[in-house]
Amino acid sequence: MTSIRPFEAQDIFRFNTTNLDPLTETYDLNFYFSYLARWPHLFNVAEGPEGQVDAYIMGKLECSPSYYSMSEHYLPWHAHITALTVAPFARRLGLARTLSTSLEKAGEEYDAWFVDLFVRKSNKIAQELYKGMGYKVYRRVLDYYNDDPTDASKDGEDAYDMRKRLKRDKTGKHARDNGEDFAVTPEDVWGY
Amino acid sequence: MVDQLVPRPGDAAIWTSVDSKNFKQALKTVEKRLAKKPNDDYLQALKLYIRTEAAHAAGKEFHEYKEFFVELESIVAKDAVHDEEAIVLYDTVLALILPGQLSLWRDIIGTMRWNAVKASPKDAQLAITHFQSCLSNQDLAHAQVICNSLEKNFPQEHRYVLWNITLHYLKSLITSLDQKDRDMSSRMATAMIRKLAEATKTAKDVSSLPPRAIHSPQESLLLHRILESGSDIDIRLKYYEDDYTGPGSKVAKGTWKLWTDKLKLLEKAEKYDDLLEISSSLLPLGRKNASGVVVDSRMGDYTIWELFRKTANLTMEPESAYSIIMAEVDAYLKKDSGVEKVYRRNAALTEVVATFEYLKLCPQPYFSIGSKGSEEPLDPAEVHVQTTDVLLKYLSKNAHIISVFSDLRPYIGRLDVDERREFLLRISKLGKFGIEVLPFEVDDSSSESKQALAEHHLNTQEDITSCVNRYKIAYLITSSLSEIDRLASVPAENTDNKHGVPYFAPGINCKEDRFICPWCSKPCAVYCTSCLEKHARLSVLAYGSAINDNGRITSTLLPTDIHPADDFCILAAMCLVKLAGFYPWPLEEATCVPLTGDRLSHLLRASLILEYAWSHSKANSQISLLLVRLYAHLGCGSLAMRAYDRLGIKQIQTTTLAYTLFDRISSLHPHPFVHLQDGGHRTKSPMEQLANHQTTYESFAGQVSRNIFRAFEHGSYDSAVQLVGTSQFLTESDASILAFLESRRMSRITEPELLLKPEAHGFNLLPYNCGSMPFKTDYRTSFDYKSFPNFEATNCPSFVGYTALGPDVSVKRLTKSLLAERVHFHIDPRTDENGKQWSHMWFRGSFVQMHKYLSNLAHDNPSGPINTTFEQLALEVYILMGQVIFAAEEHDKADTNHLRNLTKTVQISCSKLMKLLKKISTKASVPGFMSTLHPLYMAHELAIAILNFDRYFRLSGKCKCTFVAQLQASNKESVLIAERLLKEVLSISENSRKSMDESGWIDRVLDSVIDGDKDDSGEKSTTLAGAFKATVDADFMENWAGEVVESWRDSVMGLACLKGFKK
Repeated sequence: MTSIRPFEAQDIFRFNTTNLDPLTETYDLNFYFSYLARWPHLFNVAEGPEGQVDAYIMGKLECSPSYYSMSEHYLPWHAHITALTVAPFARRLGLARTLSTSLEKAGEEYDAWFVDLFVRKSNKIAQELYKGMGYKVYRRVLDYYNDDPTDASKDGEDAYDMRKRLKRDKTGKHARDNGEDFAVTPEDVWGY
Repeated sequence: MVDQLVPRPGDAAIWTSVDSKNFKQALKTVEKRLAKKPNDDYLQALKLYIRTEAAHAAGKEFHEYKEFFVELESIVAKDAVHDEEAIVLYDTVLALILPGQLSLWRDIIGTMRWNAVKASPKDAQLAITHFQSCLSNQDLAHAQVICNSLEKNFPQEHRYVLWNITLHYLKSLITSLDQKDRDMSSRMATAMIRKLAEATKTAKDVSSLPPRAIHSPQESLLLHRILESGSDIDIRLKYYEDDYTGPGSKVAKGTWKLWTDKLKLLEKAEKYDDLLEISSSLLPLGRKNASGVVVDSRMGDYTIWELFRKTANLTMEPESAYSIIMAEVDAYLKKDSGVEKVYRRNAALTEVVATFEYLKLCPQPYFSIGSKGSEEPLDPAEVHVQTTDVLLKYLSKNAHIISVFSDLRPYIGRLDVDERREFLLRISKLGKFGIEVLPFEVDDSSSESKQALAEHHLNTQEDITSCVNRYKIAYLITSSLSEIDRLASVPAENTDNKHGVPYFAPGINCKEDRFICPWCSKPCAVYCTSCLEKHARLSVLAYGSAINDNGRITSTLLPTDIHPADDFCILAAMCLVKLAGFYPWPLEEATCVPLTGDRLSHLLRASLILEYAWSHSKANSQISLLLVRLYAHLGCGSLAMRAYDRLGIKQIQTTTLAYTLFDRISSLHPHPFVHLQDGGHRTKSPMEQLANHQTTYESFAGQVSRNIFRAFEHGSYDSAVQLVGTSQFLTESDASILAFLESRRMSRITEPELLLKPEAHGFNLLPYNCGSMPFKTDYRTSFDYKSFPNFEATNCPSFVGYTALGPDVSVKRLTKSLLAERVHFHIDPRTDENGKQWSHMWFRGSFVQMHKYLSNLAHDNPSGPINTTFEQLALEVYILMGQVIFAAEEHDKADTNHLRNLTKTVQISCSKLMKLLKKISTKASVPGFMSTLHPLYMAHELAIAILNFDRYFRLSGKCKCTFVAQLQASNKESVLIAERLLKEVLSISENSRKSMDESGWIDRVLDSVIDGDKDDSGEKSTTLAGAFKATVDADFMENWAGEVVESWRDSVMGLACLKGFKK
């Protein structure tokens, strides 16, 4: 069974079910709580039958500052999936899809242009999931991550910035084909 | 703090002097300027700051800061400090003198900030800055008055109204505040928010809401949260049901939590008709309506399904209830219902529960699954079939999904024995792999053909998951549930409230074969060793079949993936742990029984199969969590540390998962890790690790409080309330006590020469009032036991309990240990002068109350032991020592009764310990298992404490001669006993160390794991040892055995730290 509910501050004491996964980063409390303080409606948990955290999504709504508006990397008003993680034992239940759909809906409600996210180049399963939901690679961010969990000898890994257009982007001006070939540096990503 | 300040023009020289620690020069410049502007707030503050920095840099003692503190107090008493930067400087001064003293911060800096606001009430920005600072420092009183000022001076600002209400409510939650004040704050918050709610109702539309009304979903949440703590259910319901303040209102914008909270409240109010009406109207919104539109998919949430099902059953005849539930389920499960996968699963599970309940609870059920009804009641035998049908239907549809086991577990647990048998038989016929699952024969297929079948069909990840699920279900039925049945059939002395399972007096022999296993028909004890062995053996073999796939699956997995066959190994390890005689209830504790023979073989095998699985699936944290605990039992501290390291634990996880390794680390591996496998990338000693955890822990308070203002700023009032709750939780957490206690104990062993300060080892992080008056006894547990692997039945203790090294962390255990720690600190010759004074004060002020509290605990102890036998024996002595110390401190004389009791208890405890140590020395002093190490460290600590106690009174000039003489006479015998105990400890320790230097240990480990494989006839062995031989690569096994031996050698090196008493 699944209940989707807002993330509560004390969930930090029980999210090991998801966060012990090597692809899920555990940040300091400031990180989680700043989302809880600013975008509580975009931070949701899928709770399992014994009250355990099966999955959660952290999201936000934002745009680049106005002084950045002439840059080719300017980000208009959009929803962003900061983290989406599903516990290993709760996979294949559709939790990732349901949680990310909820963020898309919030994006639509707040008149955002698109939803975007970053995914490790090696995380093929996640890429397939997002592609199945209508996301496309917009650009490749070189060495966005400073480690590579699939290869300890490497000290960095590329990210794909994936986007899904929302209703506001009628002409697809914020989407791109063959985004895998469009490489940028982390410095080009606002907020990096 | 000072680093937030932007240097003023012309100040560069001053700051350069400060940075280069040329304080004299800096002061000279400031004084020169002050001569021109003697009333300049900023320059005055800067001068005090530089003087304090200079004193700090010179390493002055605490009492030498007094003049600065007096100066700060005088500034508060004077006129307001207008300059915000000056206040920041004073704030830094206080932090330098007395860091982390929140009550002083409130009295000095909080007052200073409030005075500044009072002096300029129309300066909103200034007030907000001070408000933020007060919130960040948990000074809610000054935050509140600042907020009042803002609200009064800016009446049109909606947010200040909400800030004020939220603050009142937050104050009502702070447990350290006076209860009367808290109640008053709660009443204020309730009255104020209700006024706003009423104003919201009278407003014509959302766009014309007045400032004093509810404007947003977060404010609606705050309304209901405040009402929850201060109003009757009827009043709360009134606001939930109102069109302007309820979840359906425009203001609430459909906030999901308000819907679910409303339904839960209706349930609490027992308004079942209303609840049924609402839930039955909400569920259809989650599927396509007549126009093909899904209005709100969230309405298929399990909370709504559950309430719908419950209320239908409560308000309707069974058949009618079942009908309407199934009608909605069918509508959800239709192919074109438009329902998302997550919510379809909720409907499918509702089908299981509803049918199950109908068949189980209805005295004469008519319905059968898949039909529309029957004229005749079902035959009882048919009820059994139908009950298992519903589970089977769900299982067959979801067999390839890992969670199917936990989905069905509660319902399998509710089957009676015949139904379980029926179910098990049917799952064996359901698919391709079932036959191998059963630990009893269901047909005449030969064992070889079954095995071949299993091997042949583990082709895909889905096949493997499906097979694993059936193995787990078979284990659940034939082992876990049967164990519960067997336990329940023995008269229980009382009940362990925590786990809800019977707790037996230690006299009951858990190992006695008093039952006949219904599955293998052999005599058995609480555990059926025959079934457990079979489960373990088949799981190991199944894992072998899955993993040796010529790269079909294994080569497709990324290093971050988890192998689907891992659970075979976890299951095998769990069976082996049980076979090794570990129980989750206090029948006998693991640390009391030497780990020898079969017990040792099983535990080694459990570790081996998990280690082997980890080598193929490094991302699986469940394997590592289990390994930490198993290696600890084996006394392999460095391997336990390695498994812990593999978890990649950081930030808050250092608190929530600390229990896995650091509970009782002081009697497992108190010394630095000399030998760390995997390249030894982490060389920190356990003490350094805990210190590291404490540093992380210390940073949490700031990380939480920083965001409380942010939540206010963004109008996230419900979040602000949660953050304050979390902040409270962290300040009352048991994790900080555990880290303190273990660090202190390790320090006694590894740092015998170190000068001990009272604040050492994270004392400042202990919960508020911890160990002084009034006692905090409601520590919050921040340990996360739920992430530990668990395949046990729902009503059985979680598997984490089977792997504990002794009784769990509990309030009682921690409080007793804290008292013992006070005694140790008092008599420890390492304690510094400041610490001695502090300790004398504590004994005079708080000992009696704490002891009284502990005495009450002793009478209120229904749930079995709270400590290991060794800990308990030592604690009894420490507490009596405390009584003698108190009498000496308070009255300067001895209470003869206490002295007599102490001598007697020392004799009893030490002779019991001697007996237990003798047992170890003859049976299992080598290698150093936990059951060897723990008693040695505990006995050493006790012996040294008795000798320190004697020395303390001999050398202390504080007590009158008559008392010292009396005490020395009484202590004489205790000293002799302690010396004998110490001698025994040192002798066993030396033997252990020497024995581990011998060769042949690797062979002994290997023999223990694979010896007993008597079946040489076939390719596949029918013994456990053979299964390991057939599955685990021989080279891997040998390497692993080498690692285990090295880890044992590393562990016994810690025993070298156990020294004799220095007179």
